[in-house]
Amino acid sequence: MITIRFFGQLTEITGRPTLEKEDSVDTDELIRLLEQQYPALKESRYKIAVNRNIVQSNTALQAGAEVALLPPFSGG
Amino acid sequence: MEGAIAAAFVGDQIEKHRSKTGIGAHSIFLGQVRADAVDGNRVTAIQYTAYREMALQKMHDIRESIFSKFDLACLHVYHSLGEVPAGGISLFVFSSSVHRAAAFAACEEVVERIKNELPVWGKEIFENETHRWKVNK
Repeated sequence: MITIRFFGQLTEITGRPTLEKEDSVDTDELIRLLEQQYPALKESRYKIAVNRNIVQSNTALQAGAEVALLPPFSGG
Repeated sequence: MEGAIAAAFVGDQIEKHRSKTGIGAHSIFLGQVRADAVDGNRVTAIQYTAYREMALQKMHDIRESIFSKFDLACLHVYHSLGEVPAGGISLFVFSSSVHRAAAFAACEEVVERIKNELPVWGKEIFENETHRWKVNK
């Protein structure tokens, strides 16, 4: 299983903070599946973190991975 | 920490450094929630949420790099989570050093890095109960 976490405005698109999915091979495949489920994600800006580290390109996913979709930060 | 950061808490933190007599300079940054108006509709509060595990890890990395870059005696950082009303303090950065230059520079860099790198989100709540996701400038 892979755990997906959504934050900020993305939780308004998904209506939930977390989602569990069967294993995906990599982040590209997972994002494709998520965009099918939540088409509004295609128009959203976000970064992807795998196991709490931001990844810039397609990244392989191990079983048990935690993937997070992070819209632009606005702390402070 | 949950909710606004109280002025008394900031005062207590200053007092705690009384015994650290090697320190000659403190620099403090306080971020305050503005009551911005959009089309005459005012912000009454900001609700902060975070990816806590990642934010703590990131803050640890920021600390490490700040300590290796500047000659600091200590550094304390507090960020609010949950609701902070307009006028409340939501970020408190406190750097201390022997002389002022390091404390000033470190404090500024920590604030900038927090704004750019910490996975924290602010949701601005308006008086008519609508909301907007904050954008950092």
